[in-house]
Amino acid sequence: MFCWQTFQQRISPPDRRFLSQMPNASQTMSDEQLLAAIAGQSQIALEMLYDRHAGVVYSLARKIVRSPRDAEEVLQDVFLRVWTRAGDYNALKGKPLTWMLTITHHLAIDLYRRNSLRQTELLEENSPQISLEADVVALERIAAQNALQKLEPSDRLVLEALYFEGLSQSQLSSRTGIPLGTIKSKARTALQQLKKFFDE
Amino acid sequence: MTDPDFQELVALCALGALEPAQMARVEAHLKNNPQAQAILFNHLESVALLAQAVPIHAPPPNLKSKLARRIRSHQKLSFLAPVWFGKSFWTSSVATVFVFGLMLSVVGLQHTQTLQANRQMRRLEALLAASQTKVFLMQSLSNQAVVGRVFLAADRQLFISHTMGLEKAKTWQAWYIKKGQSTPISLGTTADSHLLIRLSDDAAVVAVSEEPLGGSKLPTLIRGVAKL
Repeated sequence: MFCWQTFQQRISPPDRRFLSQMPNASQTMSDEQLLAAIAGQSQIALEMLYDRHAGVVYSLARKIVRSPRDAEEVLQDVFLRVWTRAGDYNALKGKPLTWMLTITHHLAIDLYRRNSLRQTELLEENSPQISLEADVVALERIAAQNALQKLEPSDRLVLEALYFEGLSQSQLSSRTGIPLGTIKSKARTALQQLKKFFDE
Repeated sequence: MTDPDFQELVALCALGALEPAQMARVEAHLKNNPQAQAILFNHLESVALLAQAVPIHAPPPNLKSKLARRIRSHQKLSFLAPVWFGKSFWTSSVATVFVFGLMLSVVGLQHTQTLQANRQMRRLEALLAASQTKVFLMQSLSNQAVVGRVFLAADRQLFISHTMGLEKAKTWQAWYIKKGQSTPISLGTTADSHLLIRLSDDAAVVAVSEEPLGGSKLPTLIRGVAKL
């Protein structure tokens, strides 16, 4: 026999509000709706957002920090920040995933720079790559990968060095010999191209 | 900073590749400038594509429970902070020891119940997180108003959550009706507005009725119905 009374106490009022707002079977909660519920302190909504996007957040962090252990730390920090600052999210400033990935990038680059003098655990080349997401998220990922592949190799190199390695434009310039002005223009046009290819 | 200068730097800003001095100039330009902000957000959407193109790795399965623990401890600290802020060290220490002692005794008494509730919460979390879980609206028979939700997982775990009020000396009783039949079968009674239970494969309708304490053999007053 279940202990319903104790069970009932474990569902917090924000979660009850969230559950009462769930759409019907033909719809799913959007990321925006989940963030609104998280801002109202619904842990169930946070778990749903985690299940949806933890894979991409963790993978981005792992690509930047190059250590599974550090990537785990970043992942937790990102979702803790989502929990405490969901109320700050503004839909006019972009999609929730963009907001979360911006947070991920900042935290991961910070950690990577802090650790840059320390020897970091090397990524295992054969670590499993698993598809976690729902169909829509997976399709978007494939489209993003295709769009990235369509870029000129030199443009792709500039974007990846700046974004994943956390290099500044001058650091990249001194490493590769590419003039600063070229880096600026390549970064701008490559981002525009990437969006165009993705939308095609 | 002029608009052309900003246009030149905005992509690098979105990529996080500006030097600190340049970043400060860009931030100053963005302040109270919705047009410039829109350009930056547009670039951030493109940058997000870079992140999405990364091959996916699964985070360790235990990370979610670690995160839940951190959030719970964060909540407790936020709750205590305004209470103890400004008190002397000794006052707050003695009070903290007292509170923890009290909590320990309560925790001891409720241990069994908590374990049981934890199991229920894990079942509920799994049910809500599963991508195959379907959500159905529970409606009032009288005016078709939405009075709750029914969550049905692929393994037939059923969670009913409704917002209806209950009169004194009454209880809720949940029911289901098999496909092609009309006789309701009881799923049990509860005083709560939530119910988690396993449902038979051939159920076509789920309902909640208001009953005298102890429940009834057949529904007395049906308050909500969900067609599956």
